[in-house]
Formats: sequence, structure tokens, C-alpha cells
Amino acid sequence: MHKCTEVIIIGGGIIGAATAYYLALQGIKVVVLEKSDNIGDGGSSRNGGGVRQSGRDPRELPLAMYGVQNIWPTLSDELGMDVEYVKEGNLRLGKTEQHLNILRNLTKRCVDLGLDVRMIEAQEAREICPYLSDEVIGASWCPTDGHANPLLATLAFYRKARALGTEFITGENVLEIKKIKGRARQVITANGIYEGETIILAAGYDSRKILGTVGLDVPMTKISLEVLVTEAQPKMFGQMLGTAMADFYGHQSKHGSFVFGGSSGFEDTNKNNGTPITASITAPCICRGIMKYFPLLKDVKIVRTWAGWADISADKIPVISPVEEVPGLIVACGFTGHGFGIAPTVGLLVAQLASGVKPVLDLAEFRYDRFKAKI
Amino acid sequence: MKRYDLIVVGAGPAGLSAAVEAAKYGLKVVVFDENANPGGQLFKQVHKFFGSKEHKAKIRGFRIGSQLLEEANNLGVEVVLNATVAGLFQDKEITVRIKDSIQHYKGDAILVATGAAENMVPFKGWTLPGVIGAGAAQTMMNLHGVVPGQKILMLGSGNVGLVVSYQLLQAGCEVVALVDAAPKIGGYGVHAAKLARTGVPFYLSHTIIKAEGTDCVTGVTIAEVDKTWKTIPGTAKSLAVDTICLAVGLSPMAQLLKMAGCIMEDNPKKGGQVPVCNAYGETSLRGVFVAGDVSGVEEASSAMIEGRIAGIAAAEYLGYIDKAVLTEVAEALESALSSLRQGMFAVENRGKNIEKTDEGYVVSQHLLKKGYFQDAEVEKYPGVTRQPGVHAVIECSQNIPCNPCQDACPRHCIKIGDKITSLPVVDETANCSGCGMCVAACSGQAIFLVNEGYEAGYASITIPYEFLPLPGEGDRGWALDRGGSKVCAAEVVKVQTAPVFDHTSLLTIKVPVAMAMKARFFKEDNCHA
Repeated sequence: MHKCTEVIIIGGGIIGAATAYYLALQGIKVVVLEKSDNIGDGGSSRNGGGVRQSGRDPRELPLAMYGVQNIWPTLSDELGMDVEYVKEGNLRLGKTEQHLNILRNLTKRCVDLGLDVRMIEAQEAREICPYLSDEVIGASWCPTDGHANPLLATLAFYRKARALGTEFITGENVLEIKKIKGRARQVITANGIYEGETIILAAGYDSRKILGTVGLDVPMTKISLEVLVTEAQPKMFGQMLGTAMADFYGHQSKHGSFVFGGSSGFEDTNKNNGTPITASITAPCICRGIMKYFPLLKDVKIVRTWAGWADISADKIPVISPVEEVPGLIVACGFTGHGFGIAPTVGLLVAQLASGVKPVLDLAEFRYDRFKAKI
Repeated sequence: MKRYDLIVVGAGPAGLSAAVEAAKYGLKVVVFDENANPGGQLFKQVHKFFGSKEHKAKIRGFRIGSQLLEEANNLGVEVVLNATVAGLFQDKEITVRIKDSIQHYKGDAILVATGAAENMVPFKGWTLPGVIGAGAAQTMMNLHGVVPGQKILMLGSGNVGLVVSYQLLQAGCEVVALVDAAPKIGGYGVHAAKLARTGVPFYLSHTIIKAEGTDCVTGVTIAEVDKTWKTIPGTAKSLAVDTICLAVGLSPMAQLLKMAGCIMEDNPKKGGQVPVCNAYGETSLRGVFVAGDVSGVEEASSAMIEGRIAGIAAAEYLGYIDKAVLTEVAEALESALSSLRQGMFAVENRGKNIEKTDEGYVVSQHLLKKGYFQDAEVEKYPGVTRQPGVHAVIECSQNIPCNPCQDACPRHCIKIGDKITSLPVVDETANCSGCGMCVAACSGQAIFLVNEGYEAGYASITIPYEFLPLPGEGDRGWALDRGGSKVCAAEVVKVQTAPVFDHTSLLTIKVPVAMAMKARFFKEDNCHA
């Protein structure tokens, strides 16, 4: 099998699907190759749905703000499918003075870059969200943050890209990128060869071994993060929630379920059996965390828990970069567990890189070759 | 953290069978079940099971449950009830909710036998009180002694829909209609025939449009569907019912296995998403086994065998027995299992249009659409003969894995042979004594004793009867034909009950001889008949 196209995207997650959409809008022929049998099988369908600017690394913040200002509010209309985007703010909660110090630092960082985020007292926090426990003594508040449904958002980009002519091929495990006459040109899979003018690598942690086939590396680790979802509850609040200590984060979804993510503290050292599976200690730990802030939820039943891999880059922000030494190759990986909210922006930027347009935002911080030894 | 050799999740037929086998070989076994009573669905199965002796055929399900539980207790298996297994994690760790706490346990082997859940089908009004699963109706009736309603519509003509409809009749409810969107009855013909002869109407190629009522179900609208499942305009009809039972299939409850990281497959023939497993029920995770409906929806008889195989395999995995023992024992069990999976209703035949039996007899389309044979059709089957004097008439026309009738006859009048799915043949050279053992032994209630020379102008017909109150000798009423229509007046001339019949009474009625091959049910009416 030998197939030619203009752009090949490796990875059918939300980054790949969004990039495909923005390329297809320009009439560019795209083939997306996905290893698993399902689109969005990785982090794209396994995250907590935050569309958050506050608390972001300052290098990443412009991407988040661009998305909130220019893409997310109209995305459902644009893609013709409700992605359940809700822009009712983000509360990051604190219970101790030490917590508040952490929040103040995070807040200052973002304010300096022009984000509307501020510290608020417990009383104001409770006016925004009346269900907080008495233990909460303050919070940071970013009114323009929000959340969306990651499964629907991924699906919406996928469907629209397909409708515009993009071809998605699942069950296609990429083994190698092959240079032909000095340019990245071929993508070799177990089933055959795909040939394209441009190759975009957006395969999460698996990008690493594919990069190795053209002599490149992005330092990343892979950790398993967990989410739980509750039975549907009457509508309580619309904010995205987090805490200074990152005990948990989450929101109430459109149909009433709460979706909460969190950790046990052993994420770096957890073992796995090759599939992203939950650990016995994590969901209980998340629940203990939640109940300190929302005691009202103590009797709510959990209907499901799940886990997913996050590709953690060495400096905790992604690589979004053309690779000059392998002309024709663009890399978008290492999203470090906070890629969902910026995915539409990243899709737009990568599509601009691939189509030779100057990206609307500066991508210098996201170079693939930025990782240097410490001395 | 407490540790066991084998943790079994689910105390149903598969789980208990596995626990029993494993305990026999010395494993320390615990069984967790979320219900207040063990047995899974077995204790609400009041009908006689199909199969052969090794499958506990002609024994009622709840008795099989009691036997299994007793065996488990005798072997020291710990059965923990009201204990919901909430998670299956790496290293064969489980979390169990017991009362208000979550306990962690580890097993050197795990067997998941969580069974299946009833499917629902949404239609307008489906959330009204009065719309329930057929299994739920069965639980109410047979475990709690409460009838779910008075006038019932059953949706689904698979064995669950048919068996539960019959049990609803036994509980004194009226089954107003049995509805299925498919053009043919999905379950055993003998189960359908049991209903049809009491007068239950079958509506094949029909579906529910809506449940009527504001606070609870007060009626239902059904309509005919075409070959593409679209409703045909002008065919809607309204029926007065207070309960709508849904018997539209089961889905394996395999979430724990998916959660543990087992390789799963979507397999419509198995009822949905199931773990991939080997012949011993071992999943892609070493030492994690499955048995019963969770690994593919079948029925309790096969679940018990699968459970036994998995229990023995767990014993081998943990070094309690040699591989050679496992191979030998499993081989025998697998052959018992494969005999249950033969015939027209075997998984590989699902959805196929089978027009002839293995023996070449034409399958009655009338039976598949209306639930009963036309008079002319029935006499061509090998169990139906016309003889002078009393003899068995076996109205069994489908290749199903069942043979108790062959063993029941002390005079060897009935032959099935070694192939358990063959149609029973009545041997006209053998001499029927009229003992009725076959009538009571037939789990499908498809055997009748007919004596066309009972007395001048009259024949006697002995029918299996499982309703209360039991008519008495001398009682009068109507003989109903296979479709449930009154065909003549009838008088009860004999009523037999015996422990060996296990609550299937034999009712002998006297009818004009011309009705000998028509009358198949009795409806008491001492005033008019």
C-alpha cells in the first residue's frame, strides 16, 4: 500500500483532529493516522475538561488566552456540534495561609501577562459558589476560565475535519518516519507507506520513539492520571474548580455528573500493566480531597473512574515546533496533562506552520531543541 | 490486607460453581456478592431447566441454587453478602464496599462472575412507574412474592420473555400481549406454545410506540413494523395494561475486567463488550478468570460448567493440581458444555433463518409467528403418532439441547439417541403404560398422553399443569386448543401429583374423540361448560 497526500498527521487525538480541521478549512488534503481503533483514545478522551488560563505557565498562557478570546466561545457553532463549553470562571481554593501564598504567586504571574485573575475572600468565593465548606478561607478567581466536554470537542473536530475531506485511518501503527532526499517524506506503518509534503507528529508520549527514527528526542516521561465521574446531580454550579494543593480539580458537566481529576501522590512511580488503569488508592484519595471542600457531595455515587497517560515534558510545557534539521516535520507533543484547553489554539498554530503562514502567536518558547543540560 | 487463594466476584451459578470446584482442591476461597441472598438469578428460576442429567435438566433452578450453596458451605467457602466489589486493580487487588466502609483484599487468583444486566429500550413514557425489566418482574414475583401488576404487556419473545410471561400467568396476572419487533419468536417454540395455549396473543413484527399514563402506566400503544423496523402507518393499537415488561436482552457486566486492563472485545454474539479469554476462562491477565454471562450471555446451565472449568483452572494456576488433571477434567466439562451449545439456538445460528431441522422436518412458520402449530403440521413430527390406546404425543419440533424425556420413560418408548439436540421419536413398537413420567419430565411441557379409545366417542388427554388452584376430578370446563381457543367442553377425569413430578401436576381431561389432537389445555368453568 502506498498513499500520497499533502499533510500526514500522526496521532488522532484532539491536537491531530484540530490541526486537520484548520488545514482542511484551507482545502489542504490531510491524512490522519491513529494507532488505536478509536479517535481520541489517549488523553483527549481521558481528561477533566478544563479550559483554563489561570495557573498556566506564563509561556503557555498566551495560547490559553487566545483560545478563550477567539476560539472557544464560537466553537460549537463553528463545528456544528455542542462541545458543552461553559465560561463561568475558575475558582482555585485555599484552606490555609500557606495555600493562599501559593495562590497569590500563581495569580501574580498571570496578572503580569494581562489575565483578569484576582485573589478573593472566602465570602466572595461563597457568593460565587455557595457549596464551599467552612474550611475554605480564600481563592483565586478568574471569571473568564471555564470547561468543555473533551469527548465531544474531540469528536466535533474529527467530524468537521472529515466532512471537509480529511481522511482518518485508525488501527494504523506508525513505525517510522523516513527522510527522502533530505526531507521528511514517508510515514511507514505496519500496513504500508504514506507519503506527504509535510508530516505532523502529535502522538503524545508515543511521539518519542517515532522521533527517534529521524534521530530526534524530546525528553518526556509518561504518567498515569485519573478522573472519576459521579452520577448526575441537580445543577449546582458552573465554575471550574481547583485547589492550591492540586488535591483535585473538576466541574459539573452539562447533564449533571461531576467530573473530578486528581492524584494520589504516587503518579511518578505508579506501575502499570500496559493499559492506562486506575490505582486502588487514587479515587479514594481524590474523594477525601473533595469532601474537605464540598462536604455536600459526600453521598454522591461514583459511576466510573478512568485513567489516561499524560506526556510530561522535562520543563512541563509542550513542544510545538517545526524541525529545521528534518525539513517537512512539525512536532506537537509533551502537553504535560494540560493540553485540552489549548488544543484548538494549538491546532490553529500547527496548521499555520504546516501551510506556511506566520503563526498568530510566537512559538519560540516551544522549540523542540530548547532542552539543554543544566551546566 | 487480607489475602485469599481465590476471590470470586458474584455468587451466582458461575461463581458458586467455581468456588465449589476450587475449594474441592484445597483453595482458600471467598465469594463476594452485592445482593442480600446468594444464588444470583438461580433462586428466581422456578421453571425446570433444559439439558441432560449432567446439566441438571428437569430440576427447577432454585433447587439447583440450594444444592450449589450447600456444597459451597460444606466445603468451607466463605460467602460474603451485601458486599459490592467496586474495583479490580493491578496485583489482583479488589476493593469491596461492605456496610459503610471500603475494604481491600488480594487474591492470588480472581474469578469475575458478575453476570449480565437487563437491557432497556426507550420509548415515549418508558420512565413511567410500571415499565420494568422482565428480570425485575421475576424478582418481585418469585423472590418477594409480589405481583408486578395485573395486566401485563411483555416486550421480547426470547426465552426470558417467554419464561417470565408464563410465570406471570402462574402468579395470576393476565399477559395481554407478547410483543416483539422481530418477525419470528426468538425463544424456544415449546416455551411459546405453553403461553399460546392459555390464550396469550403474540404480536410479532410489532413495537411499542408509547406507554400511556401520567403517574403510572395505564395503557400502551403498539404498532406493526416493516422489514426495516419502521412503523407502518395505520397499524397502531392501544391496549389496556398496567405493566410493561421489557425482555430485550442482556449485556455482560464486564466493567471490572475492563478496569483491570483485560483485553476486551465488542462481540454482539456475546451480548456486548466482553474480555477476551481462553478455553479455561482465563483473561489476558494471568490468574484473572471469567465465567458465566460476564464472558458472553448464555444461560445458567452453561454458566455453571464454565464456572467449574474456571475453578479448576484456578486450582492449576496456583499449583494445587497438575496440568494433566486440569486437562482431563476440563475435557469432560467442555464436552458437556459443547453439547449445550448445539442445535438451532446455538450462538452461531443466531439471526439465521433455519427452515428445516437436522432430521429434515420443516420448521413450522406458524409456531414462529403465532406461538403454536396448525393442526395439520403437528402430526408430521416424529414425537407425534396416532396409536390405539394411551401413548405419548411429543410436540417438540426444534433441535434444542434437551433429553430428560428419553430417560424418564421406564419402557423406553421415547428415543433421542446420543445427539442431545435430536427430536424425540416415539417408538410405536414399545408399550406405553400411561405413567406420565415423560409429561412431568419435559421442561418444555410439550408432552401429552393421548388415548383415543378412552371410552366410546371420547378421548382422554393428559396435560402438564402448573397452575393453582389445581382442578379436581369431576370438575368441568373448556378444552382449549393450541392457540388458546375454546374447542369443546371437557371434564377432568384424573389429577395426579407426586414428589417425582416436582410440582408439575398431570391433569387428565375427557373430550370428544375428534378433539384428541386439538385440545391441549383446560380452563375450569363449572357453571357453563
